[in-house]
Amino acid sequence: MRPCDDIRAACNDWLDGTADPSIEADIDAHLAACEDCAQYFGRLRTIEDNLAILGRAADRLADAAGTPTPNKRLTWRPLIAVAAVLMFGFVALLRHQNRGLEDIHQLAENTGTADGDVGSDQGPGFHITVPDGRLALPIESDNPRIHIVWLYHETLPPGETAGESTGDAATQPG
Amino acid sequence: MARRPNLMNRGVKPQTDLLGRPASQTDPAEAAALDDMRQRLLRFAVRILWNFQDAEEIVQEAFKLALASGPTGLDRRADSWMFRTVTNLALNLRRRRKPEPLAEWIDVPQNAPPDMRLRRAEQLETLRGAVADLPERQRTALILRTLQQMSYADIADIMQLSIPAVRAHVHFARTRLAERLGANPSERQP
Repeated sequence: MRPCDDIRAACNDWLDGTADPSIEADIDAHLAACEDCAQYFGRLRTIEDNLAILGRAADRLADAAGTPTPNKRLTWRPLIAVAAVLMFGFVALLRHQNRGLEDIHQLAENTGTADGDVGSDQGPGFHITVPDGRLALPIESDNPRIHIVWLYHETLPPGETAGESTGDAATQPG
Repeated sequence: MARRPNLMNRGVKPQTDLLGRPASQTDPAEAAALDDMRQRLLRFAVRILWNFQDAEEIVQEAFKLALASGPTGLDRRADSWMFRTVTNLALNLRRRRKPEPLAEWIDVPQNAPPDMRLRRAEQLETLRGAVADLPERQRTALILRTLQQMSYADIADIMQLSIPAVRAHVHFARTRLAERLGANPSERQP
């Protein structure tokens, strides 16, 4: 039987599967008889198999990490579109909020000054009156916060200041 | 001056190929060969560094060096040159990032117990560490032979050694691992 050193020196070719058939036969015979060398060659084989597993793991890592990703560069078009929609919505909301005031101004221009109580034909609960020089206008606005706005259409006497108030149609300013 | 190919930005079509030639003039077959080379180099670099970002940077650096002073073709000489360059860059790299944990990347049977993957990963981490501790030439030769599955002739070209010298390095690397990992290849020898 060949000595252990000779057999172990041939382990490289044995692991590569390129050993000469006669040498391979010698190795097999030796391993069958020598437990130390059998364990040693067993370790070599296990390490070789585990290296192959490491190689596959490295490939998975490389393939997974290297998968092309969609271009993540920021594109401005969708942002501009969203900004435009938001701005449009904001402006529309502002206009809706201000519609009541526009109605008021329009009504003030159309109505001018009036004496007395125009009457209830302007709508239930709404009257146009001119108490103390102030003009009370009904508001045809959907805005529930504005019912009546008092406007001053004449030069106020000293000490008096213009103001707005909301309130029930039947409420006379105090 | 040709624009340098941007390997990192995959979303932008490069104006030049990986070797600095105008992309419009690159033959599709050559472009595919270049891409294949890049993939092989990336895998190789990952096997040394175990971190994809480090590997990608090194491969890109290798292509930059190829642009500056390396081969311009895609022959076997270019292959050896690129692998040699990647090897040298990888070995000289001061590690910037930690190696990726193995648990996610190893294969275990589908019905294996949950802790099996962790135990298996631990065993392989030990082996990976032992490989990293090998002397440079033994480590390079072993990785090229066992992980990259290259022939001794190709390894000799890359490492600029004779074939018997390469075989010796692989042999000593294997026996060193066997001695270090002891009776249980997953356990370190003191």
